[in-house]
Amino acid sequence: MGPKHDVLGGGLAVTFGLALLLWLIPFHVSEDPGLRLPVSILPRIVAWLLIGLGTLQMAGGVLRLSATPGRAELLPDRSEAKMVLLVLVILALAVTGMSWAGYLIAAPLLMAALAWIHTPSAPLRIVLAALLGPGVIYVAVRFVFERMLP
Amino acid sequence: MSDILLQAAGAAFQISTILAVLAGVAIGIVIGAIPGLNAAMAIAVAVPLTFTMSPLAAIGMLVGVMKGGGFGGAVGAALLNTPGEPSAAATALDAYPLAKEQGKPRKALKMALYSSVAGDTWSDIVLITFAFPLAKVAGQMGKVEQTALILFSFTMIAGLSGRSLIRGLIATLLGLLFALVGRIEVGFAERFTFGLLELSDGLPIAAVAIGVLALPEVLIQIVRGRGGGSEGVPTGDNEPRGSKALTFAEYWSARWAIVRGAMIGTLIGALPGLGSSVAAFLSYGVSKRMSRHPEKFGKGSLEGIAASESANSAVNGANLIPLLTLGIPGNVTAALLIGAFIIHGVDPGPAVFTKDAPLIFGLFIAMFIANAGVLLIGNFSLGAFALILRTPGQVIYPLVALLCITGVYISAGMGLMGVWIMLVFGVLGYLMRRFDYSVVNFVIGFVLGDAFEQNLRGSITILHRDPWHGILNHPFAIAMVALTAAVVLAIMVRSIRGRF
Repeated sequence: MGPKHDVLGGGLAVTFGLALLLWLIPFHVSEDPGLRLPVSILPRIVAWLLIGLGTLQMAGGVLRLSATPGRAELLPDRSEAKMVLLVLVILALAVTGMSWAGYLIAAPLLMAALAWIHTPSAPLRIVLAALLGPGVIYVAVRFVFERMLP
Repeated sequence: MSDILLQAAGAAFQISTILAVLAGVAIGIVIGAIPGLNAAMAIAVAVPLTFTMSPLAAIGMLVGVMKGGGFGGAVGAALLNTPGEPSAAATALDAYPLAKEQGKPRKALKMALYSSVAGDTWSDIVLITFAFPLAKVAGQMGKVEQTALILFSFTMIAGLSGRSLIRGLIATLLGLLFALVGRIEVGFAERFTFGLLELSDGLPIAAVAIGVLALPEVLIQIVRGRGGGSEGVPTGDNEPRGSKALTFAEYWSARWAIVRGAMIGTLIGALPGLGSSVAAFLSYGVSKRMSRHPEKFGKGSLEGIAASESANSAVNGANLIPLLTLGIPGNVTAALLIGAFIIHGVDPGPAVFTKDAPLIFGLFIAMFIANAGVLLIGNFSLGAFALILRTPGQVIYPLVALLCITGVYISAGMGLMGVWIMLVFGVLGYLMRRFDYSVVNFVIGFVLGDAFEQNLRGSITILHRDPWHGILNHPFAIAMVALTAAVVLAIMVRSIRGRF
């Protein structure tokens, strides 16, 4: 990992630490007056440590950047990140689909979509996998583990 | 004592327990053999399968997955030069040349299998020998000592398991923070629940672990369109009959490499943070230096395979020493096992040896059953490994993604909400991988977060009147804090020296 990753990663840690101190802890941590120590003490310690460590990481990145000016460095592969986002959207749609239409409808569609993204060929194999995979899982969960699926 | 042993043996030798352990071994070998997947992911995916089982069968199954996964990693290393586990990378240095270039895949796999089981069995014996006395000592520790010990473990794991102490600490802190979600142990105050009733009991470990460990890897494999369906996997079908088998003389010639590997693996496994990759490479290096034929290393040396496999498998049993005696996981598989213990109502730590003694003795027996299972299943399925590796990734990875969703749905106990949580942590896990933050540290921070907070609160209550004099009554805690500072200093000095 290069200096740009340090600057960006450290920046994210500092931002998250600040978000904790300024928003998340004040508005989403309730206190219990009966306790000796405030409920928010550990989250506050974590927030300050994130800010401190993030700043150190950023500073290290900046120093390394200035020591090697003009050095080309690739940030995370954007095309891969876009595809991962697409798969996550498909997963989210499948989960929503499971609550509306049920596992036996949504799971084969999800399986087929993911198999197509992995390798867009061999449609017969995709159809078979999309039918057999979720079918076997459903039967195992329903009858072996005796649990219900949506 | 004899009653407890009989009770433990009775539970361990029940057919349901044996089948669960063997099923775990088979799952571990298969998942460990698939490039891109590993034992930790196998355990994360297998946790939901254990929900309807007894605690012994459940934990025995997961231990089986861990042991099977350890050997499974060697399969991809030998046949594809793509280790399923990072620790099997050292195995690949010799197993692949032996399998591919010399055309002896079965010999390579058998050497890996026998060395792996030998290392594993040795470390289990060490675990059983030392766990009880260590647990007795650990049982004397109070909250102040435990807080200092967890702090030391966090620092060790953060500093040694990744390339950067700062990144390691940030990852651990994030895990710790997410462990704080929900209602606190005493009282009614809540943290970060955003008004959602489902989050009152905290985030489910299955959803978090599968989210950060398994899902990002599966997503990456799916979008890259890689993995599985590997053509040209050496099957050894054309091997001359005589050269297929590993002779006793060949195995015996590597005995010292196995002994050294087992000892190194056990020592490293007992320390938090170092892990099986360090053990495997260290053992490989030591064996190469001490071998009569160092020139053969890297060209298909049986000693090289034995050194690496015995060491990385010996880490398995030794990892359970800090887990069972102190309640502190040494690596991510141990962290997941802690999660499984908690899910099944068992609190790992020194008290477990008195409170749940039959379970612990039963677990020790189950570990030996698992070793026998790895030996049997590994031996009889050598021919099937090529088939596993030839199964198209187009089928494997979507199936694993579906297993993740299904597993979290049935295990998290909060319906599809658990699956949504897994997806959120999947995104976090992906970002952490891309920015080189250790998900291992994250999971360990998450698993230990609750215990850390409880001990910290207890410590502050004990020390609040006169902290400076009070701490003098806790020499072990002082030693741990000093060690923590020494570790931080040593890592900083190493990092500065490395830079200039």
